Amino acid sequence: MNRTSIGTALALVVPTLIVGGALVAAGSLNWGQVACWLAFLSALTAGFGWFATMLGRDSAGTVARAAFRVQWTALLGGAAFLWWILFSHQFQYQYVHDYSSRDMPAKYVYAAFWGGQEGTFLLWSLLTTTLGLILMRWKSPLKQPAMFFLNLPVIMLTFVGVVRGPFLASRAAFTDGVGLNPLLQDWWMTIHPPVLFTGFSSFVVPFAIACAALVKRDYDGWVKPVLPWAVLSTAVQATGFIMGGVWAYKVLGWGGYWGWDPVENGSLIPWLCNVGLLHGLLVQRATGSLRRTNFFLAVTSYVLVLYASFLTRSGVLADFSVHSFAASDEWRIPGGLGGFLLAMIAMAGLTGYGLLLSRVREIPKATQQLGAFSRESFMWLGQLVFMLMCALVAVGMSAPLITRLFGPPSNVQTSYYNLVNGPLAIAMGILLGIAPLLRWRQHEPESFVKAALPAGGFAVIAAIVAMLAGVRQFIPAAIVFAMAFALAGNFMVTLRGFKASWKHGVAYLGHMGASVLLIGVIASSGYGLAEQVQLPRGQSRHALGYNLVFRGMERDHEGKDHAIIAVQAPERTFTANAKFYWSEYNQGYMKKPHIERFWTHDIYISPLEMVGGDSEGGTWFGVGETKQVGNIRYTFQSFLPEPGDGKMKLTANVIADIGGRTVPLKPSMEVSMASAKRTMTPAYLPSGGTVSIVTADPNNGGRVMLALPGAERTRANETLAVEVSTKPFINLVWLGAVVMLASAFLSMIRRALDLKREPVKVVSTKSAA
Amino acid sequence: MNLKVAAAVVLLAVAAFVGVNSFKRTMTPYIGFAEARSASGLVQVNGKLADKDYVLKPQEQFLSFKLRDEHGEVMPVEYRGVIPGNFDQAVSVVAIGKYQGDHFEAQQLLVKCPSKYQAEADKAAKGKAS
Repeated sequence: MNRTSIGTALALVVPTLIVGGALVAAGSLNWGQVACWLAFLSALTAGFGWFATMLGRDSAGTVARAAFRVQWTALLGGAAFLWWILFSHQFQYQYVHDYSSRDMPAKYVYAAFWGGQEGTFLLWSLLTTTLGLILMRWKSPLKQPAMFFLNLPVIMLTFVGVVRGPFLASRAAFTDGVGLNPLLQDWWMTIHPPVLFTGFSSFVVPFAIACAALVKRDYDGWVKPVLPWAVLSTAVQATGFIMGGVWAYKVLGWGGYWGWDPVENGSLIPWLCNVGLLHGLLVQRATGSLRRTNFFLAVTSYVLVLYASFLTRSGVLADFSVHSFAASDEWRIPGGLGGFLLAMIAMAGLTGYGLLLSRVREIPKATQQLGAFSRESFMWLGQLVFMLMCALVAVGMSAPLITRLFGPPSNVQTSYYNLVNGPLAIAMGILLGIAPLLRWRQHEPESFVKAALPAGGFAVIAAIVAMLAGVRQFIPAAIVFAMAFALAGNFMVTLRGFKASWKHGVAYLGHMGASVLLIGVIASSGYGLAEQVQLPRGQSRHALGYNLVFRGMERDHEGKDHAIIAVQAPERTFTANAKFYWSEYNQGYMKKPHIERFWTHDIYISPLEMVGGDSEGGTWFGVGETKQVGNIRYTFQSFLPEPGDGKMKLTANVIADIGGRTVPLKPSMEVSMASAKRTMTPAYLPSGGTVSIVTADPNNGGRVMLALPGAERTRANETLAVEVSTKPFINLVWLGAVVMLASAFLSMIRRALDLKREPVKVVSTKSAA
Repeated sequence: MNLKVAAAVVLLAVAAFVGVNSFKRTMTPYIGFAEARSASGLVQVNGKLADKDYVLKPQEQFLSFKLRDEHGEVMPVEYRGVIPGNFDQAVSVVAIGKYQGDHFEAQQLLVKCPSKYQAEADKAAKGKAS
């Protein structure tokens, strides 16, 4: 650290702390807000500093770097402060009240950090800044402008932190919080959002390096340094949404791992664009073509990150998401954050596309065309397929906005996504199988045919096997064929690659993972069997050839109910244990499926609803009768019927004797004449607990059944409705995903190692043959 | 025109054709009740429960209720399938389906419930404002 850096840091920190400290003492700010202010001011300083370096004042870089470090420290401090107020249950902060509660297990308290928008924005700024710290170590003339462009969105994000951070005071004096949505209280949910946010944040680096290259007119030099970052985004983002898929499969119980929900689509579209970019960069490095396309894709990936955030966070799609978890209120932004995200899109779009437009004429065209039958041509086509997938998914998820321009806003059904991506997946598989077998520049068709023959043979066999197994429609069968072709082709290339060095085989290994994953998707989502069945307690029922007996409910140590079902399957006899409990938070039943795993398939038992579970048993009282439950004596005195307009209200007059103190209780029941629907209003005991009417019998002098705290409740006539389904070859999905991710992370290391190895190879003629 | 350009053109044409077709086929417009009555194909309607007098037969997986849209128009809705567990608390309901004879036959329901705590917070906010 030299004198300038220390000076800059002090100039930022000392006044902010003095003014902030005074305001904290005066009670108008808190230390979290001071941290936000410090981060914002530092981001501004760093921004000006790097802007000055772009105008030729190199010395400003030192100031900018110091300010950037202060900014990172401030954001880290803000994050630590947020965790501290969450863990110490300081409900005077609205955010703490909104997303945590006293009874929440500690492992979920830390996840409440990103339970709401404000915390998410803080995490987003922190992650982007952290990536910036890594990028700052890079030695290149592109570094300073790249840091400027990386810092632009951070200025906006930290600005939100200042105006609407997670540190606002509560609107009322709360003593406890709302808690976190139980859907999010799951191990996968504590780990998957930060991974996804890291993925989302990481797209800023290719964007920033691309902008820097455009500013500096370095149209080829950015390719090599940006490669590890592009692979990083691919790897992390895919990890994020695959984790989301696991969560959806294991916790949400839709029966699937992917639902084409706006939230999922939003994480997919930047990724598709980024994978297109990644392959385009490889083509550019090898042949010098696709320069403009790559700039376009680098900018677009980040714009799509922002666009997806806008769609899923602004609430514009709230009425269109059938999976209400995505649109549940805590994800909606009241009060202009939607507008803020639009401003971010405008910022990134105007900067990125503006720079590209201003340079587009001078970006040199490829010196020679893509070879007609060459690896780069097929990669170019593959890139096109990724762009088309991305565009069609983006159009689908924007349907409500697009159709609004022409008439009533419409949504597309999720089948849209399968319909449009099916044919593209076939093309993808074929290209994925062909491209790695080809050399750069030009390949002789005869030797290709020879090389591709075994893969083609394997694909034909796979398709025949699939058809015999029941895959009869054209599109799924063709996808299996194409993916088997890709799998075999890449298998050969992977083997050959690993013989030379792990570096040459690892990318193709990822292709193998992707093809296995897609074959698994076709099998598990399209060819499983499903049947809904009602299970009266204790009685045996059949579904899909399995014998099921609902044994009853069990309560776990967290107070959540589980449905216990004994299942006799030909494969194995097991006891299914599906979480099924009432959630105060969601005002609905939370259901978690039971998944019984086998090598070749899963049996998926998803509770749907409980019938008759509400009419819990109770204790019968005749008029004037007294019964003791625990240390309370209850006497039922009389009914107070109140006939009303199409309704009948029945109030029971009950006296509770609690250790000599008598308390009158008036639980009531309202019956609608038209629908025979009953509404119960409980009475509250001073000692806690409620007394409510279960059912009443006004005839024969009158009898009432009361649910009393502490009394044994036998549930009568419980019937559990479940959906039993099979997920054939679901393990291929997980296997493919793991292979793909492992390959992606190894590729990232490989590209980062390449970066260290100077000098840059000029137009590689690396051949796969 | 060489092979790769031809392939690209074919890809683009297929994607555009399939895209436009699928979009039209799976589009479910979000419309008012009046339009829903005359619409062909799947549509989405959005309304509040007109009253609490709904018929819920869990054993038969049948649900019938009345929705009121923002213009105050009321439309009967029937739904056959797994009953959303939180229907009792529903305030506003999104139904996807089509109008058949005398009622709206829903294929899918999206139920929105009041959040108890949200209401409390709103009350608190109002209290502060007044």
